[in-house]
Amino acid sequence: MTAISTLPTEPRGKRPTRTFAPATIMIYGILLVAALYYILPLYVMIVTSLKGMPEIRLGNIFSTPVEITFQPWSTAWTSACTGLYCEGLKVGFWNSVKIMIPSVIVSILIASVNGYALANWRFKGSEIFFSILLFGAFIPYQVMLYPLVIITRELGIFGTLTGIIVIHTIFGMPILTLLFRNYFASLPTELFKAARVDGAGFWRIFFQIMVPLSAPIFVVAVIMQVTGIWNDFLFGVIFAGSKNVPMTVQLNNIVNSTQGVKEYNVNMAATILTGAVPLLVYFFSGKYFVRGIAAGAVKG
Amino acid sequence: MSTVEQASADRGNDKRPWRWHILVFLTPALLVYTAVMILPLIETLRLSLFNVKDGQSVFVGFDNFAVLFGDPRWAASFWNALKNNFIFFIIHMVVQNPIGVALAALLSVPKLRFGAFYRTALFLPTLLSFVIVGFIWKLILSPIWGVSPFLLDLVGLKSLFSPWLGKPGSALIAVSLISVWQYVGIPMMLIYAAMLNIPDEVLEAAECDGVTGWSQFWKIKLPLILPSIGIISILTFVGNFNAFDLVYTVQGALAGPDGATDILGTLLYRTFFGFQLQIGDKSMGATIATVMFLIILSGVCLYLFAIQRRMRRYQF
Repeated sequence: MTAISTLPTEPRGKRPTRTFAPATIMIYGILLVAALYYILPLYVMIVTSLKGMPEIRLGNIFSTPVEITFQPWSTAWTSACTGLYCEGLKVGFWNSVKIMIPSVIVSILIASVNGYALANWRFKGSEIFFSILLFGAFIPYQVMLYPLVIITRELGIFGTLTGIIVIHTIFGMPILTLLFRNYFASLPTELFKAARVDGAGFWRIFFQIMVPLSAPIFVVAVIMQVTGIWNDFLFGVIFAGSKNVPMTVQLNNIVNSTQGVKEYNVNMAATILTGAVPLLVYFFSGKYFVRGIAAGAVKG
Repeated sequence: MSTVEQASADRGNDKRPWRWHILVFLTPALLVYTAVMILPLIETLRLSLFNVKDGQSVFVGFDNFAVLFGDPRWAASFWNALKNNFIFFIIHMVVQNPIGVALAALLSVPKLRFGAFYRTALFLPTLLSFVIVGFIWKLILSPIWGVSPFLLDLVGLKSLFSPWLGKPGSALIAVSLISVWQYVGIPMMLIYAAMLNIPDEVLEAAECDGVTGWSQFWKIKLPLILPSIGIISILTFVGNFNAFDLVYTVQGALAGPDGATDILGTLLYRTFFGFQLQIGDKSMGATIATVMFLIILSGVCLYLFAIQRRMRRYQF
């Protein structure tokens, strides 16, 4: 009893590590170097896009622009040339938007319902259905390219906006369905059962119980689809047709054109513009992204 | 009572009435999906067994494969592409995944400041198109414009610089490392999420037993994230043997210099669609596609049946 009262007021044992312990410094050091390695190329891109060509020719790629000019940006947007047409990236941008928005919405709608049905309403053959779907996630898409060209041509949608939207929607399905199925399966079964007892049906449970609980996984799905479709190149080249060339294809034509003087600042501005959409989507929803991945994606 | 229990034991099983109405919801999706993914696959597999003789498509059995593996016109480039693809994959496994795991471990240090900043910075390139990444790195490594000679000069190592992308000996490694740079965010994010999922009780118990820091990572965290490492390995495998885009944008369809960066994806592209003097060959293209498909299928099967089963034991 007395021993307790005579305890020193200072806590005994090793002191907790200070903020600037060597290990902490090392951790921050490594992370900082790694981050720099990733930020530096982006920094060079931004700085270069704000310089005029004479300044770029001087070298000093890391220096901040002496004279900030937005000329390269407007050139890239309105009048950069791909081949004979000099209408700038805005054409490709709007094409990409027209391709992306319907494909993202449709594929997520279908995949979420599919994932919900596969997780909560198992029916005869649902395992087979799921395996076929999963199988699709692992097939290299180049393997199917040629027959796909023929099939879409037979359907009359080759080289049209509809064609490329259908292709993106379907190629997004396997992985999205897997994502949604895993997420819905991880929600407590009791919720589903309680709703059933209360007489809710297929759609009612989906819209009133499942969807409100699944914001993180919808965010992950949106990020995955937006980046996947926006960054797509091969499908765009082959299926979109010359009128609907997406932004990445146009960018490739601009930066890899061999004619004339290479305008690095315009190229850089064009590159940043093309990368902006997925980056913005990520910045505005990145908080949910990690949570969503933790909840759904890793459980194979 | 018993029916309720049975229903709750499993969310629907064969004992329940056949839920045809759900199948009705799913059928359109299934049909379109079959038309766009399964039929083309079967068609490709079928094409690989046919070849054009005298303007007619003739069944030739496995002759196309024999030509691909043995005929001097095809075999050299095929084995070259396969070898390069394996090197490409091994570099990813040795460089990308350990770095991804290490970064995830650092990011999951408790009370880390600016964690979101580091995570975002390292994940950024994953969100960018490979057209962009290829373009940036071509410039960085360019001997004329390049950032890297300049940077190496700063630390006095300019003599080490050489046009890596242009030399047959180093081009493949350079391209692989560009791809590693772009995609290190994926293993990092997945492992980071897996580490967040480790229950606090486990880590607290470890700390009570005096297992902290470095040894905690090796003895507690690493065994618990092994299933996720399995998943990123198989994702890397599938991704690498499907790879095409980055090589195409950085080195062109010919995958130069002198085929040094030629992988199965670029070989398939040239064979299917033709390039410059080469005329597109649908049958041989389908044959290469089938080989790619079989390689990936065997990798996935190996993962599902050999590795994943064994790893289940570590899960809670």
